[in-house]
Amino acid sequence: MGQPVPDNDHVARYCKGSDFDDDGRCTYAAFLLRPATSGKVREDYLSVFWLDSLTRSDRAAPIVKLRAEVSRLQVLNPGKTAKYAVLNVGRTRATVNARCADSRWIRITEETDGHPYFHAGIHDTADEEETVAAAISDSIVEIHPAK
Amino acid sequence: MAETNLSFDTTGTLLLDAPLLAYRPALAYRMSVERQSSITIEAEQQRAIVAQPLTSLTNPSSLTLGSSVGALEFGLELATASAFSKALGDVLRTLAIIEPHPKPIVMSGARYRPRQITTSDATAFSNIESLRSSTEPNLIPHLLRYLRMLFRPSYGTGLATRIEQLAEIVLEESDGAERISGLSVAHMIAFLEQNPTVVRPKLAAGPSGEIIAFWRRDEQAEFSARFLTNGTVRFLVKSPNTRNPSGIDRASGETTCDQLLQKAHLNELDWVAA
Repeated sequence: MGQPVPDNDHVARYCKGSDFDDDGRCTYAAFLLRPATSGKVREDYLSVFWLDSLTRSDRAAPIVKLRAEVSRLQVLNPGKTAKYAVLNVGRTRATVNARCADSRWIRITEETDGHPYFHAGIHDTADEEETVAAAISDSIVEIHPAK
Repeated sequence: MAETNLSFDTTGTLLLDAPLLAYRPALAYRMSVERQSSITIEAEQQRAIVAQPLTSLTNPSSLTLGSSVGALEFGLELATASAFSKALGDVLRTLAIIEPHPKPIVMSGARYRPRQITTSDATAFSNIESLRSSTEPNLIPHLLRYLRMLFRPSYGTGLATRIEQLAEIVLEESDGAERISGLSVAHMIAFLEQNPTVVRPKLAAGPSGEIIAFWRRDEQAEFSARFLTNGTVRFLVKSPNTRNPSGIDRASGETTCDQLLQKAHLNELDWVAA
């Protein structure tokens, strides 16, 4: 875990097509930790991409660069229906703080554990997981196709 | 002698409803409909069959069963394997509900021995988990068929199509490594069937392939239920505060799918239970 991502910055969560409901609405399924399954370890935090570490220009440019970098570094192979949900760090943290019974401040930090340079993580979501995930999904500011 | 009844669960799987001698997962021999037989029955026929006690079995006391989560399968311990299975088969064929499987389970005259799932320190529960995960993929076709043919609410076909669509997305995005959980889908179907006033939900899939169902009236009113594979349901409720128009009430909880309507007070949410 590295430095905290500033509250003014934005991160993007890769959302699979199955995270969206019949109406194409991004649901809290996109912000649930993956449990341990055969061949995969349990997620400790939600992986996101730190958009402002890619470029500091307008909102659309980082998404274009994100797609290019994800492809160049082979971080993942986006599905046809996958999208990026953009979150403002401060807004997301404040929404979770207001919703959780324990008024927690989740941490959104840079991740330096061998992932691409723009990798970040949303921590402290495991307790009251559905409540936290729903709060995060309610704080989405933009959605962009992943391809 | 205890009475034994035939019934069917939401997947169309045959259940033999006898007093549980014990939950004996180590002895449970799970037979999915697909392995055991093919079932071709209509709703009316099913209802008629379910009403009949299975009294013509020659030796019902030799049947013990483990009816596990969601009663998706049954376990048989056959003390007198060949005689009993013949008697059971005769009854079922007489009732015209089961066709012989092209590859029937072959039983010797010897006492039935359950297969070993693991040879390590596996417990009864880890065995059951292994069995669940190993047999899960086969459930989806049964569930879709059930939704299209036997499901009581009118939206069965539409729901089946949506589940099919989600299953394809999950499969595609994981390059075939992950699937929609049949157990989760079965729990949701059981909940919807038991509560026919509940309207059709919108669906998404969680990270384990579990179904998350959403009912939404507007931005201020939403109910969601995450159907976990073990039969637990985690729910979230968002609704307007009736005394403060600008306020929103939120609640969350965890229960089982058969208790969800009561525990989440869904009858008070007219956009969920009409």
